[in-house]
Amino acid sequence: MQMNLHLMTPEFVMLGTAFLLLILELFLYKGSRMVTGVIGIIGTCIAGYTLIGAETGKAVGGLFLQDTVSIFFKWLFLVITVLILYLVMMYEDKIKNWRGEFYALILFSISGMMFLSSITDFIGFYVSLEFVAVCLYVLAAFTNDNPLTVEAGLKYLVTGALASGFLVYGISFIYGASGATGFVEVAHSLKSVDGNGFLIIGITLLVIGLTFKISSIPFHVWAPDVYQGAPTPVTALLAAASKSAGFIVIMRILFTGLIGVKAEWIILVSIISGASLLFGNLAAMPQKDIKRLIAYAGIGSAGYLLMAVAAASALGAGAIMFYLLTYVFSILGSFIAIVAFNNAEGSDLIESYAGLSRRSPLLAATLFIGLLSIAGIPPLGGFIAKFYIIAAAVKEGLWALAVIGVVMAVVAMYYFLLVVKSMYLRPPKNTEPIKVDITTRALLYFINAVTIFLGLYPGPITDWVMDIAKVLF
Amino acid sequence: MLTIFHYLILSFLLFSIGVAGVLLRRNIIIVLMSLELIFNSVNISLAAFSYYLQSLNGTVFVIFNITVAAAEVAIGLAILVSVYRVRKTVNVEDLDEMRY
Repeated sequence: MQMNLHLMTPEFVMLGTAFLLLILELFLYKGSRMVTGVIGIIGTCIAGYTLIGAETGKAVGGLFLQDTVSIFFKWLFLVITVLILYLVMMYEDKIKNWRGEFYALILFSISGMMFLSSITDFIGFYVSLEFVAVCLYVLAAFTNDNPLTVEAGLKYLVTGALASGFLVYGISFIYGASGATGFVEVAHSLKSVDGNGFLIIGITLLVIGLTFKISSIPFHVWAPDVYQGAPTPVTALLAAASKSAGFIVIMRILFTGLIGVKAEWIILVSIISGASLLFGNLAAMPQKDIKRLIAYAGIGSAGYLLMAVAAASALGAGAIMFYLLTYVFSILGSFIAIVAFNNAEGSDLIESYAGLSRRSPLLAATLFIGLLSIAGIPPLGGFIAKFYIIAAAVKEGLWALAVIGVVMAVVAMYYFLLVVKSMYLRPPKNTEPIKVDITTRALLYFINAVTIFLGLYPGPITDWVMDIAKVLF
Repeated sequence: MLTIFHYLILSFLLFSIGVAGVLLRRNIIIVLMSLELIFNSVNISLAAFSYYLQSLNGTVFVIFNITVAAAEVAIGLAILVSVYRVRKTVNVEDLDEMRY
């Protein structure tokens, strides 16, 4: 058996950094943990350095697969980690106890997601998924003196564990139908099996269980409450990283393991996609809290991404990767602005954003660009991503889904423009300008530039993403 | 003679009882117990398939599943203690501060 453990270097660096942060806690007194955050960011950069020019191949006898797609997702997770750790450093004053552990848990959950992006076996997949989930349960309930946060944490745990139950029950039936747990072996042995009852039950339960991670129907109920109640950096982690991790495993399982029986899951995924698009976007309209609004918009985004999964083509897989790239930058930019605003004002309500353009033009512009990119307005990255997803759906003949997608893009514009209207057209109640420090400023300029660049000149990036997506088929 | 279907029916019944418990019971401790029941029903199904297929992967999966279920419920109880300290209740219906 070939071990090839050097392929896992980035994951081990992340895990090592997380343990280092835990040990560091022994030597620090109460108070600020900026140093922990900085060490976390340095560790993440070292993990990124080991990922430069990483070779592709299999490790641990084929349980772990490093290919171009997993390298893309690992880069995405590392970028997310740096931004989230920065976000925690901005948020730190609101965490009263165990600040160092907060940073460490974020690194643990990210290293679990990096394992998830390379895993090729149902057992390893389930263990990595639960590793991520357990870290996120703790993080979601972290500030445990806040009644909203503990409520959010408990709701996240109960729905998450129920979804894991569905997932693992589904896996047991797929194992029963195919006699194997590796994705490639499952695909191989399913060639000789057709229309097996176990297989249909297994796939249905598996897909339903997977919808929890990506917050789409039927396991979407946790999303609004947890997004609202959890500490804001954790909300950002759930929105950006957890969703990306969910889609890489969906692509690995459905495109690698179960592509031979795609007739069994395409209809199910299409129904879930359509229902998420309709529910997420329509329920977002009356929201008053910006984190809750982003949660419902996130259910809608999961609908778009599942539309590309239902297309089951290399174009669809490339579109998912490009969508996640733009989504991560737009959503993390918005969350940095939300935390900066909350630090000054102490509120997440949309009406308190009135007149933000006069109080801090940069924060208002960041939210404007970030939210409208998620909505899919033409010159921004999100538009190109939605365009590719709808193109992939149309190419595979999913006309009904494509029409719902286009209509719901207009609805998304409506509720995001309400926020923009509040920021730019309403007079501010309190005209005192909001101070944003220089590093945050630089970071926000950078994120906005990336979002606009991905919209204005997407050619090289989309070509690259479409090229690496071919590996999955 | 016991066939695989007997085990699968047992596992399905336990799974259904677990899901019904999670969805219907009001006390969070009973909800956590129902979650444990769900994971154990899956273990029965995996072990039965493993024996029936004469493959070891299922048995290994059962061991991992037991570990994961224990971790999950441990975290659940810890969060439950936090909830009780702040809210003075373990009733699901009282946890309705966030709606719509």
